[in-house]
Amino acid sequence: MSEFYAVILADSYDNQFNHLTNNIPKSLFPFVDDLIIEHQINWLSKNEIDQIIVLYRNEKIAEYFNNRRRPGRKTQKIQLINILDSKSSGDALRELYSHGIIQQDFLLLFGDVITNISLKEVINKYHDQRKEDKMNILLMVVHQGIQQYDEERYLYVLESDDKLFQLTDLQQKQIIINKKHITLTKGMPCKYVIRSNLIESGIYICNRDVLKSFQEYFMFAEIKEDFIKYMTTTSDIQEEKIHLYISPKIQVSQRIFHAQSYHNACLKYLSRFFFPYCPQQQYYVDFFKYFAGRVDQKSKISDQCFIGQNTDVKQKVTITKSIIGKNCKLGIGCEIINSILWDNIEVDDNIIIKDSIIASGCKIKNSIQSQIVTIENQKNVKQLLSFQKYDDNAFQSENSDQESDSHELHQKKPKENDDQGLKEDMIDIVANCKTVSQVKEAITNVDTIKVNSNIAFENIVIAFMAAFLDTLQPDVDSLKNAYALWEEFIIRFVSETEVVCYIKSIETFCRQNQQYHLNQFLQLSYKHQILSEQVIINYQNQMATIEDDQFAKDFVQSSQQFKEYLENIILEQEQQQNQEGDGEYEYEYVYE
Amino acid sequence: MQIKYQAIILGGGQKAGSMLFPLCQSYSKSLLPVCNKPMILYQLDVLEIAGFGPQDILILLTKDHQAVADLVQRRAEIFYVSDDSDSGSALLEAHEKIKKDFILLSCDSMIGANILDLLDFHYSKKATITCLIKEEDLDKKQGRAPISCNLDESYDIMFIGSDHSLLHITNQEDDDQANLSISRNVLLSCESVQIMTNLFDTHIYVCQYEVLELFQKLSKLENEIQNWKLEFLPYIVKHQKNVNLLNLLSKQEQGLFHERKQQQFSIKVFITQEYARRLNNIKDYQQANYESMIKGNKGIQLYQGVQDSQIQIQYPQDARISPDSIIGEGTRIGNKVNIQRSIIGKNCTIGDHVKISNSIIMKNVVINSNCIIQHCILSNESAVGHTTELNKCNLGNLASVEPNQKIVDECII
Repeated sequence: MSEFYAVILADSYDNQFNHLTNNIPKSLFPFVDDLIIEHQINWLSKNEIDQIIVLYRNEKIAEYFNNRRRPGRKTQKIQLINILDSKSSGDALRELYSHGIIQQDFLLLFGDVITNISLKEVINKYHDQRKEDKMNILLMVVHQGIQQYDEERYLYVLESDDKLFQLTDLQQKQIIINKKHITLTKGMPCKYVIRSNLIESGIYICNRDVLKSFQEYFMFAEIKEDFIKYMTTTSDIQEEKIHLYISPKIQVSQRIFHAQSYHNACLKYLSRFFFPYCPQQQYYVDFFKYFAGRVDQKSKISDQCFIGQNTDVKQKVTITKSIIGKNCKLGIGCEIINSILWDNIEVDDNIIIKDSIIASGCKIKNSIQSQIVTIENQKNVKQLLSFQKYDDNAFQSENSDQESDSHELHQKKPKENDDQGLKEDMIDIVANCKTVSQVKEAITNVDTIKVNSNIAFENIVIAFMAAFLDTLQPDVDSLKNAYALWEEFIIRFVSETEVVCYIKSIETFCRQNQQYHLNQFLQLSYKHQILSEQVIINYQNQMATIEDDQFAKDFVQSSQQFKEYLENIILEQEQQQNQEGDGEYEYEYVYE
Repeated sequence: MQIKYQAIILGGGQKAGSMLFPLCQSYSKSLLPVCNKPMILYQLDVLEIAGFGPQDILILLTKDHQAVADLVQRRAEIFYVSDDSDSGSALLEAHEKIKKDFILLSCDSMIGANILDLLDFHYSKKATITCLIKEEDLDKKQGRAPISCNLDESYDIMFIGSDHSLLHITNQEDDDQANLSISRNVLLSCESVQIMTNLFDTHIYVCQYEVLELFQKLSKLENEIQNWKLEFLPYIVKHQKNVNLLNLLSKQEQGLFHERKQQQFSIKVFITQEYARRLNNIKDYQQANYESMIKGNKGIQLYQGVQDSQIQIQYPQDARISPDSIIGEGTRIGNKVNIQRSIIGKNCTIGDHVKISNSIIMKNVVINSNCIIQHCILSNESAVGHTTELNKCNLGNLASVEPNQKIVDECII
């Protein structure tokens, strides 16, 4: 046990909580009564794991641990490793490998896991597997339950002894089971089981070989998508095996992917799902309500609520299934529904807060009209309209009304140098390409640049568009030729998420140079399948709503015909879909 | 309270017995004897024990199987279907005769399981179709490897869910692509799904009445769905959760109950470890006969009644007949005859110095003297000339073999 390290990946590489994680990393989010990372450290110490390595990207974690004073807890050895340069969890693991601290086995924990799984049996099983076969390098801990979120929806194909054969996500309608590696013989008792009620818990027990493989295959970015898929699909070359530990039904875990799962995890915690990790018993009132602060008698608090310490709840306040942090003040007659309020928040009288997450230090005054910040599932990022909306109705973050608003993000290495270099490279590439085959070479060139310097797609698109638009002449033929030439390149680099900056760069260009017509660009983009109908229509609608802009008005007029054409196409597609449709019945996951 | 079912036996059509060449050349498959009792009588006995009366049993035949009709006249109702119909289309033709939920049997299924258990299971699970499946374990434990209940090379790959649902069925030789592909919604309907290759389908299905209507509508839409087991069953298993298929089911109850009916379309599997065998090829037919000869503790219950009802016949002192052989009445046995492990039917004539081993001999067969017959099947009224050696041959009805021949591994008609 003394050799056993726990590695916490204290950051997430997705932008689900974008506005909040700009200031605080996900591990430092408050979870009911304590921070997420404190819950994890508590859990690890109860499972007798004292050596912890925290891989962090945001300086705030370093600050936090330096100032951490926790009386009464066992002293743990916590090492911090900086992974500032990493863009994915794969990079973080490579960084860890290069430090050379891990000699044998370690436990990998994602920074957003709340759990009560007892590690003793897990580690025993892991050691048994290792004794059997040195090629068992990864033990994935899963728990049983109903798969709720998209990120959890996977099918696990297991062989005997819980060896993972195949992991398929449930996006396609037809599931394909790779028959090559299945041995099917007549009359043999069953060997393969397909389970759809398992949820990955974000806890992995790995061997040092896992780190080594990440080092060898530097394109591994994620554990599940890349590493596990690779290990299970190419198993005739490799011998390495991945096993699953299926925890008993009372041991569960919950990962916090997005706001819904965050709220859900808090409620589960209050409902004592993660027994024996629960809020302190002294605060318990009834029906899973915990009051650590003062609540006026005339207020109505529903079940599954938590009121933090020193919080003052005035009269006639209705709180439904919400979590209120420390030192908050709620005015008379407020309604707080399904929300999570962090610390030090002042809410004035008669304000309704619904379905929101409010970060520390906000003051919510009467003058703000609509407080309804609904957290939707962000399905189509390519819809320009909704993208904008998300921007406007942002989570209220640490700003204004607060004395210390100097919580700037620690700027990582300034990117301007890189940007400039990229622009120059791009101009060179664009200038030199005259034929389609050269464009193909250009694609590979830009690909290598991107991987080597770890540049985001967005920057590449912006740089490219700048260079590309420079080479154009103001007549239609030149436009057509240029698009035909660069079609493959544009399609390769402009995907759903870069559509915004693609269109924006064209728009700014057209605003500056009046001889070019935005409409023509859009039509050409549509013809070469760079943009889809829906995106263009959304953009056109958005332009129509802009006032006081001559450019926008001209554009709307000239593109009217195109817009109607696109709308017709969409109608046709919908009709076709209704006719042919496979009509698969969406089955609700209700087990007996 | 017992829901009465109707039993439907597919007595034989054009294709029946195609794998039993040459036994069925001019003879009905249903009448082939196992332990000197025609196959179809086994089915009728099993149904009778389960409580089915003559008015509940329907046998579907084509016109050229008249002999079957004569045999079972008083025990079941007969319905004639057109000559070129397949198992599915025969059902459709008999549509008016079928009025309730039914159990569909093939005439060649030999099962030891209790049909009442199957019917109870079907009713309690509210299944749309329940298949009777035998699970076997061919894993070699000590001693000899067990004998499969399906001596054919092919086997079915089935996906069985945790609530006994049949989620996918495919024959191992059909699916030669590299991947097994199933619909996601079907897989998600059960928590855990097992991929099993040791299940044997006995072709006994309990179905709700609506299935027949579904089949009717489907066969109008798609012309290739004729055969019940090979085409219809895989088709509906594959499309279990397809909303278009479910809409084809009759919509008698609208509104509130309409949704529930859709959700209840389920195909379940009743797995038994009891004896089961389908006699649709030569190897299985021989194996069934061998199994029927086993007496005592290791014998199979299904055949024990038949063994007991064999009448002892007189045979000369110097005949050596092994105790597990079965000889029908009226057979005359000559001198110095050696019979090992064989079944001989009624009214046969066996000459002197004949050696018979591991063979099945049906009624009215004449075997002249000095013959050696091993591993053969001799059909009704065939004749073997004297001093002939037959090894692994099958003779059809009324076939005859010249004297002084040595024939190995042939079919003679």
